[in-house]
Amino acid sequence: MDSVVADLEQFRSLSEQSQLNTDQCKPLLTKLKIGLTKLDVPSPRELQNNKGEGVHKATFLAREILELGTLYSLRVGDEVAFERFVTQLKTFYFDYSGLLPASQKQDPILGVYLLYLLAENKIAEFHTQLELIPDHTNRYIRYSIELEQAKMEGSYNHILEAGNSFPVDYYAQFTQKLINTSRHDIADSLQSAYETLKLDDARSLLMLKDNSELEKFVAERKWTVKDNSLQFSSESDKETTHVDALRLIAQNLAYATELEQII
Amino acid sequence: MSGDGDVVMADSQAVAETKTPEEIEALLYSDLRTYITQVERTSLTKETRHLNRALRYTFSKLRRRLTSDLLLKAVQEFYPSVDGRNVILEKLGKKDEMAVEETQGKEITPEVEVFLHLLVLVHLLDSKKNAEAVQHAEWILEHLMSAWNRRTLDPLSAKVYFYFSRAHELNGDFSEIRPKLLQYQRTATLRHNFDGQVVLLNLLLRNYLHYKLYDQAEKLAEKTEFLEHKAPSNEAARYYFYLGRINAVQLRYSDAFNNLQKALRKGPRDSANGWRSIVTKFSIIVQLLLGEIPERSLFRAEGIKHSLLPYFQLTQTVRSGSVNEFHEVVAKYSDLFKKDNTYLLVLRLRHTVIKTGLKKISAAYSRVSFTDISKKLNLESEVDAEYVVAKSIRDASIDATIDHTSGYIKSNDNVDVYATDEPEKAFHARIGFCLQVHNDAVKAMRYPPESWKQTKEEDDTKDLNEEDLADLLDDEDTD
Repeated sequence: MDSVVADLEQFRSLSEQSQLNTDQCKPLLTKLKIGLTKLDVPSPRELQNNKGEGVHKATFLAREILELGTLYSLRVGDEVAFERFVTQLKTFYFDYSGLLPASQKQDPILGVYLLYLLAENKIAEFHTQLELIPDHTNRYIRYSIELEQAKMEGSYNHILEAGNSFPVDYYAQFTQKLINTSRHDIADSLQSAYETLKLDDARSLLMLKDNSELEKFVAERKWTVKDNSLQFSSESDKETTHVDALRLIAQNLAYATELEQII
Repeated sequence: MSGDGDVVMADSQAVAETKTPEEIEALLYSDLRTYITQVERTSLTKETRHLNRALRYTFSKLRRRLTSDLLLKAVQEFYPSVDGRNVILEKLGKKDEMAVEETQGKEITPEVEVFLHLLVLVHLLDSKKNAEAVQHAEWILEHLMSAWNRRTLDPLSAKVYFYFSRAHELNGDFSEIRPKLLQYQRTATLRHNFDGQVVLLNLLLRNYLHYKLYDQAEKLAEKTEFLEHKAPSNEAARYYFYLGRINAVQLRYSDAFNNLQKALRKGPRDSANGWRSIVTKFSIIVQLLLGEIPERSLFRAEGIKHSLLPYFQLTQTVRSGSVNEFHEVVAKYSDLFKKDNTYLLVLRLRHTVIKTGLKKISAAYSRVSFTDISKKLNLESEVDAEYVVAKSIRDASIDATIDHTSGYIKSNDNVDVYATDEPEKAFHARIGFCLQVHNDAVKAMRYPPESWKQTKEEDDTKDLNEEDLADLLDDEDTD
């Protein structure tokens, strides 16, 4: 266990430097992960009964390793690893709550995890996780909750403003991602809500910085541009005259079979 | 036998007021004896219907009036001196007064033994002795349930599991019995103990929901099979309620609504106010989240009127579309919502309030400017209002177009509903429901009971005689 402690300290000092030296950090992290599996962390029940120093320290160490791993993968931008670490961390936060001293990083990490789910548009998981978190007034968590409400309502300018002020710096990448996702949502709404829209207005509504980005966006979405304004074709006319023949046929056949069974 | 039991019950209830306490107790005791004898018949005839009947009557009529004296008498009469008897006597806190020789020769069948222990467990729970109830429940499960593998014990096992879980829940260590419950469920499934299986599934779901582990609850519900045709309607009601709650948290509101309505239908209609109240509360919130306003008559249902009052006020704010009022009501009743586990769902209603407000405005005006909208809905700015309106149009909650340069929204003319395929869809839903009811009724039909068959046979023989007569007449004619 002592070698793990030494490695942990080294990793901590390396990862907290402003200039990350990934060549050194990566192998160290792998070493720590292997050390984690050898640590023999007890289950919550055992931890409650066994007051010995050794088991408590092992659990504490395991949690520390996972937390540092999470923050490191955030800095490097490795989302898959981040999700893996957080899933493992969750058991430490929820099942072992009360048995270990509370960690400072718990709320920021949970907050950024919620933000990650929101940016990936996994709203169902967002809410499920939110139910598990007991304290909602904490500012890290509240940040993510407010963003979720804003996204649900559709007040996207809130999201843009929020992008300028976040509690911790590693929230930045997900806030950026969220803004991108919202941009697609806004584009969908624009398509259905407006008939024509001037390019300048479109740019401000989509919260894009300049015309080149707007052009890229328009090309992606395949909108038609006519003398400096976007034309959204109304698809609704086509729909009302189109009869869903297959569905009607299937329905009527079902009725016929059922009725025949009765008679 | 059952006829006698019924007559005795009617008597005792009719003259309860004029009898002295001893006589009431004697009557109660004779009822208890009747049911215990019924249970004994089960072990003789291997038919569970006696057991089911005995359980039903005991739990509905006798349960609240059980006293430790009654139980003591029953034990002394039926239970020979074995370990189990001493355990009961300890729990009841009484000494063995009667002479031991009287009951020596008797043997006690497993069904009666478990039945008596179950009654003692229920009595302990009702008198709020939770710690002892936990101990007793564990004793029953360890010694009795593992000793026998009889199908006639199934209904009893279901009850034992239920009260075991309840005792732990009241005692506060609910999460610890999860591995045991899973183990019992495996055993019950292997042995085709349908009653036990159904009850254990519900207990596990309840356990997960109590600790808000919606993920795990969903996985359990997905992977296991709920035997709807074998489950009593109370258990089915519980199952649909738990399913509805899981769906609501995961934003699957239409599924949640269906399940909650099913739960209400399967549950008791007039009694069980606590049950109806909580299911109705969830059903109201899910309806609001779907965008529909529940009917006013829902809130006036007998027996649950008072508990639904906060939800009624909530519905009113959603209907009016005013976010300020919404926040006021939520702040006022936040403790109640947290106790009902509906708090987070209620918070999600905020954007429903705005949506409803928008719908009303769009229906009232043919053209509205964004400044007016933001003032009416108390939004922060016009830009906000524009975004919100655009999103609502995309979600198809309002039918309108936005004119950005002039800064207003213009509602589209109302399309004649009959020209679309809305009526067809509504008809299809109703036809589907009727056909479903018909199929369920056909599946639920049973073969006619014995007595009916006998009369049918008599009819047949009568027909035969008539046939003979007709033959004779024919013969005579041809002669």
